[in-house]
Amino acid sequence: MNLKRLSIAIFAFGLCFLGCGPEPLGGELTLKVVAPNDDFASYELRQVQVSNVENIYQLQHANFKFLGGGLLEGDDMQNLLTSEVTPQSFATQTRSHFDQTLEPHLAIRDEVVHAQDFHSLMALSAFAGFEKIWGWYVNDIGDRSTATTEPGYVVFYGDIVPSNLLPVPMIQMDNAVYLAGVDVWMVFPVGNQEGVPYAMNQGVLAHEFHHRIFFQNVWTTSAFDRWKSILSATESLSASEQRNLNLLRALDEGLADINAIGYTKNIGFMEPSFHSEHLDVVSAELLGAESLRRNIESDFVDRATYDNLGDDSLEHALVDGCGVAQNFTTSGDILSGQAWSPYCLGSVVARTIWEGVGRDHQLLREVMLPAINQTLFHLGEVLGTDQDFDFDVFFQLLLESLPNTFDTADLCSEIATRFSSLATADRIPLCAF
Amino acid sequence: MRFLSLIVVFLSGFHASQLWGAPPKGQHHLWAGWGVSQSESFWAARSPAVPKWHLNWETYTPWTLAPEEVWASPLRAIVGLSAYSGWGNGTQDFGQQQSAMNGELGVALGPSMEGSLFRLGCEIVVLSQMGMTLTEMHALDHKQTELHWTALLGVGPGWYVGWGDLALRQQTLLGYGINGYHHEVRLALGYTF
Repeated sequence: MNLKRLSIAIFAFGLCFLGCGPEPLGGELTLKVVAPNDDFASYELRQVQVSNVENIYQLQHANFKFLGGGLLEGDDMQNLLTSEVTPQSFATQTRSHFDQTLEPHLAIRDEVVHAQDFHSLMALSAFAGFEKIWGWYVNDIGDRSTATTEPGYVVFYGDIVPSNLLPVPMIQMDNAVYLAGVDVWMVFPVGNQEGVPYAMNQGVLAHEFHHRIFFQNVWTTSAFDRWKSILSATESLSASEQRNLNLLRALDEGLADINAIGYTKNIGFMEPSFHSEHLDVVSAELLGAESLRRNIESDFVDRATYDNLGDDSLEHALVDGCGVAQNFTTSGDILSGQAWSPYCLGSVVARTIWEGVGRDHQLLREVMLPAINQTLFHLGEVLGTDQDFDFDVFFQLLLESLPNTFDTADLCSEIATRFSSLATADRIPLCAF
Repeated sequence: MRFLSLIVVFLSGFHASQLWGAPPKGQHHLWAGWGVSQSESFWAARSPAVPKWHLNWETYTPWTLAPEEVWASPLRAIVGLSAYSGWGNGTQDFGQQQSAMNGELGVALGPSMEGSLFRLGCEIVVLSQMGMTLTEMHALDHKQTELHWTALLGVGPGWYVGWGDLALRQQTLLGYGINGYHHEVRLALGYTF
């Protein structure tokens, strides 16, 4: 080889060293990831099949893709809240703050895609989870909204700061969230929470996925202007609108939980993520309280109702973490307080639906959840009229969406128990209380 | 910048011949030190800073300008090793442990001076590192081991101050490698002989 050829080869190698990646690999692939067993009660590292992959090296699927880290500031979101902004333009502009490609460390051995480090394993496992969950919401639940017809995005280890005035990232660990408006799911790193990381827990991912379904159905259709006014920091919310927002957040969380239960067929789908053996005392207590609030058959949810949470009559030891007492002293109206956890009332919603199907997973998956999905679009239409929201609005729409063959006796009975003030006021005519 | 300004002011108090003259005390240096290195991660942010040990041997390389004329040189050749072991991420249930061993090869160039008590010098370092990283992932009872190459080239400033045969050094390296951008801060204690 002469000097000229040698220098060309060295130059090419240098270029490749800096910029070359592997050829895109897609189609139907086998991935080695952390995945649940059939009962979703335990997880293990094993091989799973995924299809419609566009390029596994950049975690691109026909339906969704992963994005890298980045920093999104609350002020950037506020500045976009003009009258002209659409859900699509808002999402596109805020999403551009994150790296547009993610290239985890992957290797192919024996035609199986392996992650080469733990962070890549997190990303690859979440990728496999989203692929299954997306298919379930489309094929089993029948979602036809932009939540499943438009591409989805997963931000891996991104940061959010509330404001330029306080540019300290809210470094989140041990979590996975859906960021409404930005329209991304965000996956955060493992911190000190033992058990299955949320990003690998498919029940948690199914929960987060439903937040997108809720947002796209309810807020981006008829009620987008109302959503913008709620988000806008320049307009303080009235007490009634704060109450509407709190109840809708509770509904959002409750429906996300009951859908995750439907997907996993396991009401304890979060338990694999709630191991506390190696935790310090404070973290273990926090985790225990979270577990109590989120398990829809816990002592707390056995006794919690819309009314006893609202008038602060439930034993405080049971409602630890709900923010109830604080709201009661500051606002006098718990459900319109600003410091308020939507998960507590959300679990009441989920329990009501669970009892409404007679604790039958098949009925939940095949009848109730598809009906809930159809209800959401109509809920958006109602919110678009600036009408106040309370749970009677939702239950009335749900009862209208259920097929005639469905026996509503259990559901109405549970509504009468858990939402008695709404039931006794005859605000749900389709239930004969 | 403030530190560099101080160095310049300090150096300007010496005669120029002291800066580029014969190498200071001894021909060889042995450095042992510790630092933290951070490589770009595939998710771009929050890359963990890894504590890392290093051992370097440096020697002055005389410049031969003509067969009978050998000039003392401020250029030093560097060979060494750097390593870390058992660097963990995650929890006891899910996570990973990483260990790495890298060979180092490079040069350092810069002025030095010797006063009545101290020696002082600054340098520009060009250092390549190449080696292997062992990653042991664990997911509950499952374990998976991965071995992969590491290679990078770093450039950066350093400075040192010495007393007799001993010296203390700090270096900062910025570079690029197989895993993307890389930076490293190193502290070392050296022996001159």
